[in-house]
Amino acid sequence: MPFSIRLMFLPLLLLLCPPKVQAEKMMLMTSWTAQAQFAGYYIAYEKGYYKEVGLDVEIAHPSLTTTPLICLQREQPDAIMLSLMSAMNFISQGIPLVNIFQDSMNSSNLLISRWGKDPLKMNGKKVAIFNADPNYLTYILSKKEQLNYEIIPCTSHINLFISGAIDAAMATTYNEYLQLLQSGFRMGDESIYRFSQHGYNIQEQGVYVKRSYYEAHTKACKQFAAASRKGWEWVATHPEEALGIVMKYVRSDHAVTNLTLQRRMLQEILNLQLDADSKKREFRVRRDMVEKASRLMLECGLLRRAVTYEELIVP
Amino acid sequence: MKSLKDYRRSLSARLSVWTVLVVTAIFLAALTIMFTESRDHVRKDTLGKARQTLDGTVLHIDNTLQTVEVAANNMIRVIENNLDKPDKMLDFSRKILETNPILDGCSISFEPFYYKEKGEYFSAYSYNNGDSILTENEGADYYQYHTMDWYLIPKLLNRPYWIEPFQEDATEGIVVQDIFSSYSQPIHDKAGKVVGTFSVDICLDWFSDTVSATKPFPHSYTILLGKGGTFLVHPDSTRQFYETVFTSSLDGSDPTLESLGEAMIAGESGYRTMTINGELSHVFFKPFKNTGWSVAMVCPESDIYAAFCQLQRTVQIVTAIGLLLLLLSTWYIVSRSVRPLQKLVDSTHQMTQHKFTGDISDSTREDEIGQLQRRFKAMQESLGKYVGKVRQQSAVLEARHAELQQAYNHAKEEEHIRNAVLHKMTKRMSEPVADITAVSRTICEEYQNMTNDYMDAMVDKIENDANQVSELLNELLRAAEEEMSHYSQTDTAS
Repeated sequence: MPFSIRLMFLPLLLLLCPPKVQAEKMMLMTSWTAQAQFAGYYIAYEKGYYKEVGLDVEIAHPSLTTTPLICLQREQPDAIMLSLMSAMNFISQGIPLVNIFQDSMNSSNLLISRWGKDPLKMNGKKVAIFNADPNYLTYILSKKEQLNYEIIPCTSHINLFISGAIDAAMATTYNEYLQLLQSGFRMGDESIYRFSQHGYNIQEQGVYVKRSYYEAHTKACKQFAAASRKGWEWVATHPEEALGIVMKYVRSDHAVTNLTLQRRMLQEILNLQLDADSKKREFRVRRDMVEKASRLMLECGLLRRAVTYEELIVP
Repeated sequence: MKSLKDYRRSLSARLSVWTVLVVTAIFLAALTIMFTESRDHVRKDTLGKARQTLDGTVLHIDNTLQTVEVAANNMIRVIENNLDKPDKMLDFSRKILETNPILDGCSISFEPFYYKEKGEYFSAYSYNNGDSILTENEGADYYQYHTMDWYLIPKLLNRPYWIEPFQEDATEGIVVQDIFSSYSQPIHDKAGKVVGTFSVDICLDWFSDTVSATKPFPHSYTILLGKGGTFLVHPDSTRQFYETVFTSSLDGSDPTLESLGEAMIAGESGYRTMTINGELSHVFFKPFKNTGWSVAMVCPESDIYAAFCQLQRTVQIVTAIGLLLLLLSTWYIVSRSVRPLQKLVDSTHQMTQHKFTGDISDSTREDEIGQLQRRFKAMQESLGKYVGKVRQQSAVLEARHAELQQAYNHAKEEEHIRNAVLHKMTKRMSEPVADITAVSRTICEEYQNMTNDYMDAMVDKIENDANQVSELLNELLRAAEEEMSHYSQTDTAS
């Protein structure tokens, strides 16, 4: 075939084989070591949902002995998982963050007494909270109820709890509460304070990026949210298969946990994703919860200024 | 093949089977008593051995941990006396590892800004990697030790404490992959205020190796539980450090395992029998004095009674073979002993067929069978002779009987003839008698009207008829005389 004729087919060939676009890299730092709490993101990665939208997502887990702020400063992940109140705290400190995806719709926080007492009657007692992502609700409760808790930031409170070095500990229904059950503690209702049942139902984990990053990678952030949502919806319909993938990450991260605990965790995480009003997975930040969190934190001196819903969400 | 009926008819079979049955019953009773007693003894001995092994292991570990505590307690005084010399802390952390090879790591850590010149984090850390001892200040933003268990717990409790095993996750400086348990205690200043903590680390592998070496039986294994029920040592590596004794209860209640876990965590010593992985097992548990951990030794039932079961099987096989040999030998001996009886049986059978010449041999045996054999033979011979005589007499009687029968038949025939003759004679006489009777009646009734001629004719007729009757009577008399003379001749002849 003469070269000139071959040249005539070139445009058609180019149409059929479009040039390969370089996938956009994005690093997501989870809020804890590998566990079922992050199943939707693992699935989105493993099932290729991120790749489908042109994202090359790397999922990283933090060490136990550091904080999200340090992570943001040192490792500079593109996206980081934070609780809503922690994100608001960062914003009030002048670190502009925006929420690009919200997976928690309810508060999972509990306050559990070590000695079987009512946490609201433990004035001045030692209460452990996480150092990594402080439980602001414990501070708020202490202040509002004039309990004057001695707050003890810790890496993990299970051993503190077992040793009796603390009088109460903050816990989540999907993790530490299950760990305590797994350690043989049989806690009565009177020794557990459920924040969500006392007017403190405030959303927790979401994925945040710096506003500057969002403005430069708006499309990628939206595609990340869409793919993550798809991942979580798959998890909700295939929990056992998702659990298998979670355990792969757990082993890779050498996380000290087990399949039984992760199964219970995933069940609880999926329950916490159901909106309290609509009973559906909405994956959105609720304006009323932002306003409530801002008001409570301001009243207790945990925010330098009020943080608005508009500051948090993407346009 | 002989049927059951044949066996029932066989004295030797029945005697043998009954003998074996009786012996089996005696054996069974004796062996049952012996095995029951032996089993109890074996159980006590074996469980005692397991308990002793466990006690020895616990004592060994307690002593070693005591050594660690003593070394740390000696060093804490040195540290507290040199709080004004922060740079010495790195030397101290190194020195304690040099003098205590069992220790793998040591931290002398202080409260934030205790030494202003050292900043927020000052933790003198040394690690023995097997080849050398590495030392550094390990505190940093990325390693916030103030929030970690080994620092917080002794500080908050204000007393020494054995920390549950943990894995360091520092990614910079000295990176250690091992799992440690630490003996941590607060450091006090001269005013008694807690200013930091001092920890010495011991690798979990040491516990694991020591505890796993506790293996009194081939399939026994040992489990070490932390204070929260974590499997610090477990034969299944996928559960070790990742699961607790209560993990399975998250999926559904396992009261036996939960109860064991609760007892162990509560620091109890004891013994339980429970089913583990479908096998009945004996579990001994005992706490460590120092750490609050608890060790459990699981001994499968099959291991406890392995030697006993082997002996039991051997005895059962020997007994079975012995009983079989007993059955065969008894059968042989009895059947040999009663073999003459079978011949007697055969002879008896022949005697029922009137044969009295059975081949019963002479016996030299002095026992009852021999005597019976001899006497039976004598009886058979005597009976044979007697039956011979009886047969002879019977033949004579039969001959006489035949003769009598013949005579009887003859007499009967003669009587028949006589009757026939009498009948004939009587019939022949009846006509003239009837004529005489009729003529006589006519004469009596009509004699007045009769003529003489007619009367003469009637008389002649009567006379004629009377002659006929007379002749017939003569003839009958003659025949009787002839018969009489015949019988008299016959009687004379016989």
